[in-house]
Amino acid sequence: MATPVIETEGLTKIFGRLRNPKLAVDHIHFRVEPGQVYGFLGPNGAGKSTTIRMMLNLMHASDGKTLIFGEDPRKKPDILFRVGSLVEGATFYPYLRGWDNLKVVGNSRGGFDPTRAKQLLQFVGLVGSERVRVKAYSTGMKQRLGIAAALLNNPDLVILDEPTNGMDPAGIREMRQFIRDLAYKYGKTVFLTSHLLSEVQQTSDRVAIINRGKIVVEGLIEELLNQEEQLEAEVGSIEKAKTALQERWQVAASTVPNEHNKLRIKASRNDTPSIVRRLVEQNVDVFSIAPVRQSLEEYFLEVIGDDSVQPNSSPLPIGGTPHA
Amino acid sequence: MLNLFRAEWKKTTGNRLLVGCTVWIFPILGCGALSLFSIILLASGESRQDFIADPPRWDDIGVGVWGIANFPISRLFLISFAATLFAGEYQYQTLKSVLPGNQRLGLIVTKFVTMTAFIVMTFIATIVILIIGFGLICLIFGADYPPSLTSDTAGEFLKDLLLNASITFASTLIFAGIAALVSILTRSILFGVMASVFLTLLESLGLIFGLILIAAITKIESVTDIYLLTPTYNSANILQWVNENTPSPPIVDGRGTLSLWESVAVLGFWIILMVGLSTFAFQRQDIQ
Repeated sequence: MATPVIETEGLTKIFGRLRNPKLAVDHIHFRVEPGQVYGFLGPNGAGKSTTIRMMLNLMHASDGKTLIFGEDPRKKPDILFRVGSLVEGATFYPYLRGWDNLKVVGNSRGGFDPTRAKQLLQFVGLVGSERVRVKAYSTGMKQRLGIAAALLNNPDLVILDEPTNGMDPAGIREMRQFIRDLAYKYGKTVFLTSHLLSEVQQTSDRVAIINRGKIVVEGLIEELLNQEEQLEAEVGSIEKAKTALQERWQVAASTVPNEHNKLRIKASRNDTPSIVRRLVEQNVDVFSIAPVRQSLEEYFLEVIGDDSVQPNSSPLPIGGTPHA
Repeated sequence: MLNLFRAEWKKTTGNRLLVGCTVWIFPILGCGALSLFSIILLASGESRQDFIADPPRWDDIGVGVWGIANFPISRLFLISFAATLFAGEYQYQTLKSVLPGNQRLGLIVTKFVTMTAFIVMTFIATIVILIIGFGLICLIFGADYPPSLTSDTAGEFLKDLLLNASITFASTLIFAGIAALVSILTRSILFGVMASVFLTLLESLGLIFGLILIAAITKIESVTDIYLLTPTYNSANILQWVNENTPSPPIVDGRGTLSLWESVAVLGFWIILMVGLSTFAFQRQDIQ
């Protein structure tokens, strides 16, 4: 069995030990296998960035440990030269040009390879902007430069914390393809947090959902989302439909925003005729009914419950503070 | 370690405003002083006569430049440089990019080495500018420029230069260490500079008056001996021993002084304390 790329064992972080201690990360365990795209999700303040910072030796764990490629970075920090990271937005020395910032990051991480830096600038679409000082970059450009910086040392593990922050829809689509390419074309392992759950669903193999410092659920996306069969019905009146069906089936209004007349029924595809018959008998207008697969967003909201914010309606990204 | 130094060098040289205002200001002021001196000599015949009668010695100029770093005003520039070098990483939130994979000790040592390199470079540049500049002035106005350059005078000059440079640098390192420590703890350039400036002024000026006042009120003169533990006294004392073979006088007549090696030990203690505390604080810190 291959050595896990990341393995945490009881990883814990307590802030302010002496006065008003706050448990930010509470004995979490997870494993990321080679070649996986691993989504790490949770609402604001759940502990995602703190976990990443402990993995990167930026924060000291209060208890437990992280192993990266089987090594403890506290004892062998240079194992982190095999890791590329973009944590809570790309930050650079604003007075330096993009190219010089890459030089600084490259040299800080074992050595700068100009050929690779040029290839990466091409890859992230910043050719021509590398001679401009970073203070003149847009947020999206900084984010792209951050991706290039994260990949400078050709890492085996790439940690991307909210990589689509500040990107336009086209950039987000490119990023999705880029993450897939990293894993499936170049064989990298990707550890990803994003507030765009649909992106995570489309790119990740496995996810962990963290809430209040604890991992509440962890598994393959396919397994998590296919636990129960569901039907989605578009009806004239949600209340009347609920009353008609709830004696026999579990019924709930759709949790997806802006879908006010849609109903989720925990039932198999074979129940469709019975459900339609029952609704018609009770004078409920039926516009459509079809089996649906639960989205990661719905699953996330179900797992997190009232603690979460609506992912797509929030003005702030889940995970840390908003970036300027 | 060499790559880390390259990265640190690029970060520092790239910040032209910082380096221009706090480091290159010394050679720039040297050029300004030469220009002003030339204008005075051109404008005043009496000054010109005095200059020709009593020309400057190039070896005194070279050695004397290191004394500039001991002035409280000069220290403010060097402290600001040190504080920005250390706290800049927090201000720009760049530690998360440059720290993973590196030993924290390595990173902080690289910063101290870079700071040292810049300070040495700026003072060497100032020495070269002043020695050549005064040489040209002497040539233009027909004055001598003693002493004659022989292997003996050059050897003596290099010995004095290295000695003065080491002592001045040791004392500068202590204040840079204070700036580094405060910058690391507060994660702020402004606090780093403010706290270091306050401590510098307190140590070099305020402490003398404070100790004299306490001694006068309590009638305990030995209180003033606390001054013998300060970096300023000990660097001055070492220079005095080396140049004059006598101790630097105490702030109250009749009180004891320190020997050369006692002062070396006190200065060494301060350097180890400040650099050690900065390193310890950085090692323990969580990077947000």
